[in-house]
Amino acid sequence: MVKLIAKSAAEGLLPISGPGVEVTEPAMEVLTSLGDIGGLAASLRKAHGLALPEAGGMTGTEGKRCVWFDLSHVMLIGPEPGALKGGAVTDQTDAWCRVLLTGSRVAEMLAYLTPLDLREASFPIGSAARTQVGHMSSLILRHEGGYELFVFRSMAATLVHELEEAIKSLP
Amino acid sequence: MRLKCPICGERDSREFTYMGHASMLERPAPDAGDVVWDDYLHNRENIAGVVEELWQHTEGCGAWLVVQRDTRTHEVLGVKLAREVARAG
Repeated sequence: MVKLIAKSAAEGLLPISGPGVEVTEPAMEVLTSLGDIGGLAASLRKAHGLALPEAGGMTGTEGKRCVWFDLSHVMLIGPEPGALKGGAVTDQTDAWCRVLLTGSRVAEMLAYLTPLDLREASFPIGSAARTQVGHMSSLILRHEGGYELFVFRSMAATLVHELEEAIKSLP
Repeated sequence: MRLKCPICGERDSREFTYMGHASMLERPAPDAGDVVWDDYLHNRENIAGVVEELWQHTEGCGAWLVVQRDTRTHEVLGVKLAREVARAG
């Protein structure tokens, strides 16, 4: 049988960088969306030791995170979900392109692409938000490692292009 | 224009989609008759003043919202979750 090689969403497109901005693709992790159909908080705590995040927040640390996703979903990042009683569990691993943004001018650069204020005062570490990035539906996280941006996997090349243009626009 | 989503906080209007007049929440009974249903589906007041509208936070949390807005000034007077408005009757 043919041995298939996993290809990440932004393979061959990243890294890119500019003054005060480094864009890399983090290592692939299992992504699972979880909808609460009654009792998810208890089963998530039991199985993974994670609390359900508040709206716009996240719990856990690198390698095992639970991130707020929308009105009725959270995203488990890292572990295989296993059976979670009271959870509507959907594998999302191949559905998203994730990029990690580090450097001193990331918030300034992203201001060209999103209406959200990503500066420290309004988007501190531990924040999660759904918004638009260059007309793409996205999830933005801020954790100890930097800003992490999710867009639909099919938009990977568009996202990298938008980021390249925004980096070039920095004065 | 900015709307204060009860879930996400104050956000730019680009994240929201207009979904019609808030009267859509007051669905008539199935047997209410042609006149009532015609009115519900098609007839709207075109007010110069305070209106109640449905918006969805499509590029955010996805919540449906009831937004109270003054059409003369675009002042937003209030934003509530539509599901709470609907449940309250």
